[in-house]
Amino acid sequence: MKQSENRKLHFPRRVNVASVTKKTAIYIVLIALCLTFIIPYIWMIVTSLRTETAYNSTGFTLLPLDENGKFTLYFQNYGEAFTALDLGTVFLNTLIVCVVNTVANLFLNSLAAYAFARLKFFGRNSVFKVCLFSMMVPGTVMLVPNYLICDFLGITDSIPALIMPFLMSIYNIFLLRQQFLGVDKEIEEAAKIEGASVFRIYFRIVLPLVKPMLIVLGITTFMWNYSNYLWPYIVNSDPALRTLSTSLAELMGADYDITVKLAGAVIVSAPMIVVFFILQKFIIGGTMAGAVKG
Amino acid sequence: MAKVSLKHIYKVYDGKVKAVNDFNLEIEDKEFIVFVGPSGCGKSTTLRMVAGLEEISAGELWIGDTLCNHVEPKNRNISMVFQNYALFPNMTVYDNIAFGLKMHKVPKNEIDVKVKEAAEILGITEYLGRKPKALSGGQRQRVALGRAIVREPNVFLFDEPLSNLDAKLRAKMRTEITRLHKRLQTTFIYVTHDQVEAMTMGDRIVVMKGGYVQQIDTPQNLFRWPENKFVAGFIGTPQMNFFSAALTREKNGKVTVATKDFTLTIPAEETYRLDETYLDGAKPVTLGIRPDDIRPVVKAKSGAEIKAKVALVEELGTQTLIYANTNEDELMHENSETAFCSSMGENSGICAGQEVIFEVNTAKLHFFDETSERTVKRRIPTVTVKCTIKNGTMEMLGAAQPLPPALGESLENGVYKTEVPAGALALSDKGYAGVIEEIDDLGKGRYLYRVCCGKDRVFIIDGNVHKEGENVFVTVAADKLTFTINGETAAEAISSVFRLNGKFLRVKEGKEKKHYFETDGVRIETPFGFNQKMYDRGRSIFKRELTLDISADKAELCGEGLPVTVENVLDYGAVKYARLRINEKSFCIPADILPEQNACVKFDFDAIKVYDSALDMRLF
Repeated sequence: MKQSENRKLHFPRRVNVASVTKKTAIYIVLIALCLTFIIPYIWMIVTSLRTETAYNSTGFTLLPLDENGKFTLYFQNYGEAFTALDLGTVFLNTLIVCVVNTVANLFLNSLAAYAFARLKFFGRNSVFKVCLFSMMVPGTVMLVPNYLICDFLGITDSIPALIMPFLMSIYNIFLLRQQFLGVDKEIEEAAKIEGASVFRIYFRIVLPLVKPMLIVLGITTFMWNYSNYLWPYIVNSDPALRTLSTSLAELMGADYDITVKLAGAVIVSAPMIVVFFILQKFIIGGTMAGAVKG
Repeated sequence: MAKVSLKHIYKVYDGKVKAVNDFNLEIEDKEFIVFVGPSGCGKSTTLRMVAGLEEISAGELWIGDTLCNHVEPKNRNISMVFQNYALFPNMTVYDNIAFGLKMHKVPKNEIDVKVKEAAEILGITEYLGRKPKALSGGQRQRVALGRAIVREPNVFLFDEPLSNLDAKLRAKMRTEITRLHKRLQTTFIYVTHDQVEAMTMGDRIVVMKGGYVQQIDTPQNLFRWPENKFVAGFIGTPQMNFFSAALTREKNGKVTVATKDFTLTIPAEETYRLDETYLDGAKPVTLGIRPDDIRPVVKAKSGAEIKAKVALVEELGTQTLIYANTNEDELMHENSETAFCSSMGENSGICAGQEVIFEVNTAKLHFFDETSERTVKRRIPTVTVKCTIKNGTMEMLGAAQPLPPALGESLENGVYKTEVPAGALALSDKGYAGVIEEIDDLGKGRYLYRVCCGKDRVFIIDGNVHKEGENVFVTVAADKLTFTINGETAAEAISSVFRLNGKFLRVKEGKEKKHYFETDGVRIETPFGFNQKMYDRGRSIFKRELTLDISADKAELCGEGLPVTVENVLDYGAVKYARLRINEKSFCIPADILPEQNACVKFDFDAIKVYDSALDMRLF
């Protein structure tokens, strides 16, 4: 009693200096990082809205200023970029490649993942280990063998050549397998007793349960195919079969104003940015889930 | 609706770990069977084998008239309710219940009628449109039940369905499942680790431990006649009290039970079922007393009393549990061997620290062998009686009868202890005279009679109804008696089964391949059906050490077969046996004529039980 009476009264400390300093430091680093990533993109958009003369007459700026230093938006670069990219054909090609690849990739990989997770067959674990091991081989190394195979099959310069090598993805199989392993076995057993076949269990019971993961993998697969440049560049020489990435590369190498080139880059990247903002909830959640389960 | 038979079922993982050993059970149509036991005892594995979710390593599973070992789960016409409900989270309650019917391509309007009917029975009609995550535990379990009943299966399987529910809901669902069984009139197999669930729900209970079946019986019989210490301890709450003890038969027929801290005396008429070999005070036994049979009293009327100090009193309302200890120094020790629990009605002022006299109901004591833990007080006991052999007569059960020639050869004049199993006795119109003292209904039209013949009491199983006090005659099958004198066996009962160890062989003879069973250097050719069953076990069958169990009455002497030496013929009057020998091994089979010195024995291979000696596993 005496001790507490002798103590001095004080109000709770409102500001914890240490924690505020720590937080400030973290925010400074985060803002710096954020700016590092976002400034080039903002600069790209801004510059694509300026004329070549304005670009050359002023130094570095993040405002769309004309040569007189006035705020002006110049949209003609986009018209030129549209024509230069051959956007109609190229966009259709890209859409076909991405959609077909994503759908087929998810279907085939989820089947494989389900087999690895649940079906009992000879050499299951060994085959899976070999698959995992193949993830260590860099994709670039596979370019030449893949090209030779496509050449052997006579499918170079065709849409299937853009799709086939990427139908299977060990990364997707691995993540889906982990998801399938997380599904309560009793649910599948209940379905089995109720009379469902293995395929029906996979399709009607298990697949709906891993839907969030399928969405994430769908998005990442779609994005990966969208931005894939090297393989379409190697396997395809027909201008009618160009995809957005190869077409953009050609635009970059061609004799156009830098502002037109940047307008092309904005056109190509815009759909993905929009998709990312709409689906970012799934992407971030999915990557987290995968990380924890894995 | 169907019968389910499990015949010598085994589950072996990786050829090494045996999860289920020699599981035998005949489940009647419409019966409610409960598998109970601690975690890891193999009860769920057995159920999953019935469901088809686990492969059966050995043995046969029959559902109705179909051998189901390799039948797909969906074709077994069974339904299963899982511990964590196993509802399909992406479907509504309606779709969950209808799933099985859809899989079996039942017309939509019929599905609708059935689903709504099931929902009505289980009181979940208002939730049909909801997803499982929007339901409480009890509601989810009802949906799981609905999914099971809607298909009208032959057999319902329940794998600890109430474990995830709270105590109150569990009690409610327990009665609901029992009611459901009465309503559906279908075979139920229910797995639980909760003995209260088992006792209240099951028509019969299978108690399991470590992959072995300990006992299969009705709840009442498990409680009254536990086969071993484990069953005795597992069934009944609070648990049975155990004490180390020694039993001694006094001259006046009473039996004294001496433990470290107290001694009880059992009246002679309550000791007839006790195994006589344990009554010399030398073999240690475990005494078991149920808390209900040890009650606090002011003064014991029977004289069977225990003085103990009360450590703790638990008031449960209508019931009071008193935890006491005969050794005051160990009063608060958790694992004291002298601690016990007593159960009484409402408390009459007993409190902790008080010294109390407890009266023991000696008629309901249980005794178990200290090492094997098997009961030494059987419901159908083998009794030991005194038998005097004198000049060709045997005097036992209060009368003298002529000694069968076979016994005359091995027994000299003297007084023998004779073990008489219930199977050796029958009620008849001639033989030893006796009076029926006690009748025990064994069920299925069988009665166990305790008959007093002279000074001896014997137990006889008979299908006919007799009355207490009725005068009867008892016949004794002399070949089933074992005679001992001064601790040594003078004549052994003829075993109805003999055992041969050996290997299965394939021998090329000319162009033909022949198959033999070889034991001790002699061989017998095996028939096609037997060979096929052997081949079904895979190529390793030729390397395995095998044990054959052969019923003596399924073997006969003839000109061909396994070469044996005939030692002698045992004439028991009503039956005659030939004692045969293969090198060191000897066994008896029924034989009417005197055979030649060297003969052959032939078996009915369809009636032979084959075991893998190394795994101790029955193959078929």
